Parts: sequence; structure tokens; C-alpha cells
Amino acid sequence: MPLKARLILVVAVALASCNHESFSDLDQPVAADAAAGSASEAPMTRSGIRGRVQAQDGSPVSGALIQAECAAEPCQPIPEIGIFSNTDGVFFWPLREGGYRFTARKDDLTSCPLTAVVGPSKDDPITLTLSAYTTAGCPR
Amino acid sequence: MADQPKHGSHGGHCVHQGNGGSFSTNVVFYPGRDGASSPFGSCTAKTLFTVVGWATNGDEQYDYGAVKLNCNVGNTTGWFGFFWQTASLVGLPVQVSGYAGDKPFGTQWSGSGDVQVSEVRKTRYMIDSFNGQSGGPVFETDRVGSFCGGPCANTIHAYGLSNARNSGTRITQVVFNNLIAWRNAP
Repeated sequence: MPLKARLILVVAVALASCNHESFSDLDQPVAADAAAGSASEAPMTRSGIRGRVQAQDGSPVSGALIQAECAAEPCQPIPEIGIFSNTDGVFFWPLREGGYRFTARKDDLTSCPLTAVVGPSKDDPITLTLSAYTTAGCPR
Repeated sequence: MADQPKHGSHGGHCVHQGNGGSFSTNVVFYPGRDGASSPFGSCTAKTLFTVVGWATNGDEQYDYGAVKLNCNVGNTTGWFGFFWQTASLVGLPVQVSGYAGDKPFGTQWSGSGDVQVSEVRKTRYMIDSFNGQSGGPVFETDRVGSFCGGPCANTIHAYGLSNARNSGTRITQVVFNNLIAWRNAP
């Protein structure tokens, strides 16, 4: 454990020991040097949706904002993080198992909504294609 | 949510994937961003913080974190206070603010309402929010109190739920102490 993380842990434990509320092991801090970076590959054990955003000619689109909505009851809480596609147009969004409706947009372009089920196993990635769609132009 | 010149508190999933995943990369802050305008410039991250309950377990109850910035922009923008209390927060009027993904890109929005459910580690509220607002403050706009005056956060917004209450990670005493420790970290 880096010295910095150790120091933070000591401080947090010391503060908590003065309080009535117990300090759970799950509240132990972990830290990372932002400059060092770390692998961004999603863990295989995590349920979620993998996908790719592309232009109409099939080329990858980076920096597209992905949106998720509940598409099937019971709806699951959705982490309201802004997920963007990477330089390869690829994204991963950790989500609980359930049915969701996904869209992507960038600038004035958007994709038609795509419904997908997040399951317990590694699911096939979805593909969201950007165009000057209107909702009326999307397949039902 | 900026809470010191060089520090911002966040949902854990803003800084770490959770459940054994990895920390976020290329973290950049644009304080007060308004569409294409960044009136205070931008600032990179120095250190990312979260806790074992999120990083290892992916437990929603422990979904909180923080970012130490490489700049002192908070001296220009100001920052939020935050507080904890063991008493219920039900009925407390609050606002939720953030960068909603269903609005024009890079614009900040807020909604207001009351805390409707006050759990040990969560609060729940019927205040509209959307993807991109995670890590934003759930706050009293003008709290009067000995521990925190003015805009004061009691929760870090984290989750949306269709046709039901949205929710965030409550700032408990332990969460508060971690945030203070992270704020004071070099």
C-alpha cells in the first residue's frame, strides 16, 4: 500500500475511533495517483452493457454520450454517470441486471433507442449508429 | 461538488468502476461550465479517492469518493459546505444540481424538493435528475447552523430510478470524516 494511502487510512481510523458510529472495514479508503492512471478494462465479474458507437458508414465515433433508461419492470437504479465512447467508439456501463433502453448522441446527431437486457454473463455488445434521426424515424 | 479550493466530493462510481474494477482516468474538471464556455478554465486531478465498500464490493451503500485537484480554483469559485446528522433528514428542503445528459451539452441544471426517505447511508427524493448528475450535491441552499452555513450538502447524488425516488449516498459521520481526511491529504 502506498505511503499516502496508509496515512489516509490512519487518519480516518483515528477520527472514527473518537465517534459513536463504528468504522466499517468497507469505509476504509483506497486512493490512486491520478497521473499514474490504471487499466480501464471493465472487470469481467461486473454486469453491465458493452457497446460501440459508430457513424452511418461504420466508422467509430469517440466522445458520444450514452444514455440509459429503464425499459422493463422492475426498474433498477441507474448510476447517473455520464458515459462517453472512447477513441475506438467503445463504451462500458456497469449496470444491474435488467432491461434498458440505450441511446447515444454527439453534437446534432443521435441514435435510435436500442433495447437490451443486461444479464449475468458477458453479453454481446450493442451497436448504436449516429445519424440525423428523429424519433419518428426510428423503428418501433 | 467542490468543497475546498483543491477538492471535490463525488459518487464513488465517478472515480472508480467499483466491484473490483479500476480507477477513472483522464479526469478533468471544468468548474462552472456553461455549454462551450469554461469561465474558470479546467483543472486536472491529482489523487482519486474512494472506499473498499465501493472499489471492491460495488456496494451502493458505499458509493462515494473524492478528487484532489491540481489547482486552487475553489478560491475563485467558492465551495460547498457539508454536514452530517444522525437524526432523520425527511422533510428537509434540498436541491440537486448537476450536468444532466438530456439537456444541451455542458449545461448545469438543478431541481428542488424534500428528502422523502432517510436511511442510514442513503437519502431518497422525488427530484428530477439524469445521467451525468452523479457526484452533484444534494444540498440546503441556505442552511443556518453552527456546523455549516449557506449552501450545505448532506448527500452526494448517485442513482436515478424511473417512476420512483432518485437517491444518493448520505454523508454520515464516517463519510464526513473520510471526506475531511481526503480534503486534507497533500
